[in-house]
Amino acid sequence: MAEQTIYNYLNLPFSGISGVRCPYFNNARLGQRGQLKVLIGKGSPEEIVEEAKIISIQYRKGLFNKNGLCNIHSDHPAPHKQAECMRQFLVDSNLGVDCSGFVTNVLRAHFIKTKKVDLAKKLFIADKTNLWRRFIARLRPVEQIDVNVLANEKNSETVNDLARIKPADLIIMLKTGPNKNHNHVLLVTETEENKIKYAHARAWSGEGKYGHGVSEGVITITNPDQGLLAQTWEEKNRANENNETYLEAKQAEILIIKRLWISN
Amino acid sequence: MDLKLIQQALTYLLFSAIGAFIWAPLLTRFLYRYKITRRAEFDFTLKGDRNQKTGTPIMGGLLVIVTVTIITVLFNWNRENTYVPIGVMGIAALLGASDDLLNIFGKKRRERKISHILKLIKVHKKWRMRLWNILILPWEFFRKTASIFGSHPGRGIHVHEKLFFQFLAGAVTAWWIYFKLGISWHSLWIPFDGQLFIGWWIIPIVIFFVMFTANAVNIADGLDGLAGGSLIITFLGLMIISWTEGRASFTLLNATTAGALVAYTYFNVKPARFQMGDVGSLGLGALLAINAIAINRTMLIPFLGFIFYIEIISVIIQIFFRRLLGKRFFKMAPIHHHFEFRGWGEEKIVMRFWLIHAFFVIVAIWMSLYK
Repeated sequence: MAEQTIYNYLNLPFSGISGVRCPYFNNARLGQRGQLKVLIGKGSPEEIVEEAKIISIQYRKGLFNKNGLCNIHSDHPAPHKQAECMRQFLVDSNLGVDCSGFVTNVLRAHFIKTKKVDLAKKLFIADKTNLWRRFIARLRPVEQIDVNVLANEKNSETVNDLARIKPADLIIMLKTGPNKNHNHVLLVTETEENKIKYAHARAWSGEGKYGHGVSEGVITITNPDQGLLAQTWEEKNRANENNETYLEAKQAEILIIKRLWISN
Repeated sequence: MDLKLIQQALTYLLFSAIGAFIWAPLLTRFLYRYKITRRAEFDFTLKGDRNQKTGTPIMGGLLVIVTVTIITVLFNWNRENTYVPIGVMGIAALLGASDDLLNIFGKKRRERKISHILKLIKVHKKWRMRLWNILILPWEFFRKTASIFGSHPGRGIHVHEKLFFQFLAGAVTAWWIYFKLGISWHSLWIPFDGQLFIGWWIIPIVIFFVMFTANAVNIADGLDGLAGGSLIITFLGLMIISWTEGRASFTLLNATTAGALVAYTYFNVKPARFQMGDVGSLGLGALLAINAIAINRTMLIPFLGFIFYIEIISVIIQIFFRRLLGKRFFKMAPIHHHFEFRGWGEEKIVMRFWLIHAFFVIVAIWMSLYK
C-alpha cells in the first residue's frame, strides 16, 4: 500500500494525463491558518487531484472537461509538456505536499491497510496540559504532524545500527539548512544488501519554481561501521556534495534514524 | 374568507407587474450608462461559459424595491402595518446598494492584523493612539471573526459591517413587533400547537430571523432566475397566508412584491438582462422575514424560504468543515455550485430548486391553516 501511495505521489492520479509528479509545498511561508488540509501541504494524492479540478473550474482554467478528464492535450500535444503544464498549474495554485505531509500520508495509508490502525490518531501530538492544542489535534490530526512529532520519543525509537534499518523507518534531520531553522524527513522505502532507498518531498535550490516535488534517492552503504554521512547519497543522478539532500543531512544539527512504535 | 381582499390583492399584483415591466428598460439603461455591471476581477464563479455574465448590470433588484415602495406608499400606507416592513426593507436595501456600488467603484480596503494593533497598543508613542487602539480592539476581534464567513475581495462592505447593519434592521423590526404590535405578538405560533407565550424572547428570535433570512436570500442569488423565481413563490405563499389570516395590508404588500418579482424574473432568467445584486437580495430577504413575523408565522419562515435556508445552511456546513476539519463537505458552496460542479446545467438546477421550493411553500400554507 505504501508503494501505491508513493507511486500516486510520483504520478498523481489524474484522468487523461500521466507523469505528473506532486510538487513540494510548504505552508510556512504563506502561514495560512484554518485552511483546507490539501492547501497547506498535507493532502493525499487523491485530495490534491480533486482540489486541482475544483480550482480549475472555480477560476475558469478549463483544464478538465465535464467528466473530470484532463483536456490539456488540445494545447500541448506532447505528453511530457502536458505533465509540465499541469505541474505549473499545481504550483501556481499552492497545491503540493511537504516532507512530513508526504510521510504521514504514505504511512497512514500503509498502516490502515496492513494493521487497520490510523497513524494520525495513534501519534502523540500535544501534551495533556495544552487543552487547545489537544482539541485541534483531535479535529485535524494530519495537519499537526510535523517532523518534530515524528521524531518525538513518544512516537518513535532511535535506530542506531544501519544494518537494522528497514522500510517505513524515517531519516530525520533537525535544525538543518544554512540558518538551522527547518527540519526534514526522508521515508525509507526499500532496503537491499547495501542500499537504502528513500522517498521524500523537497525543493532543491537548483530546481527552479516548477521543478521540485516528491522524489526518490538511494544511500549506498560504503562504510558500514560509520554513520549515514559517511555513505554515498545519490538522487537525481547527483551524488554527495552535489546532492542537496545529502548537504541538508550534513548541515543538520541532529541526523537520526527513527522507527515509529507502530511499525514494530 | 374575504374574496374581495384576494381580488384586490391580485389587482395589486397585476398593477405592480405591469408597472415594473414599464420602467425596467429605464433601469437597464441607467445601470449600463453608469457602468453598474459585473466585473470579471470579482467573478469567482464557475466554468468558461459563465464568462458571458461579465458586463451584466447588477442592482436589478432596484426594480422590485422601488416598485414595491412606490405602490405601497401611494396605495397601501399605514403606520400600523406597512410602515416598518417598508422601512426595514429600505435599510437592508440601502446596505446592499452600498455594497454593490463600493464593490464596483470603491477602493481596495486594507485590513490590519490583530497582532499589529496589539503591537501598537504596546509601542505607540502617543497615549491617545494607544487608548484608541485599546478601544477598537473588540471591534477588530469581531471583524476578524466575521471574516471567517466571507470570501471578500477586499472592496465594498465587509462581513462584520454587514452583520452590524443587518442587526440594526433586525432590531428595528423587533422593536416594532414587541412594543408597537401589542401583547399578542409576544407569543410564538407553533405549528399544530397554537400560541406559546415567550415574552421578550421574541426580540432575539426576530433579530435572528431577519438577519438569517436576508443573508440566505443573498447567498441564493447566484444563478440566473434562482432567487427571483423562488421569491415569487414565497411571496405568493405569504399572500395566501396573510389572506387566510385576514391581514389586508400584508396581503396587498405581498401581492405587490410578487407582481414586481414577476417582471424582475422575466428579465433575470438565463441569459440575464440584469442581476438582483445585494440591493435586492438583502432587501427582499428582510421583507420576507418581517412579513412572516408580522402575521405571526415566524416558525414557518424556514419553509417559506426553504431553498434560501438550504443554500445558507450549505455554506455554514462548508465553512465548518473547511475551518475546523480541513475538508470540503460539498465540492463547492453554496449548494447550487456543488450541483454545477457535478455537471448539472444552470437551467436544470434553477428549475428543480423552484419546484422543491414550491413544494415546501405549499407545506407552509398547509401548516398555517392548522391554528
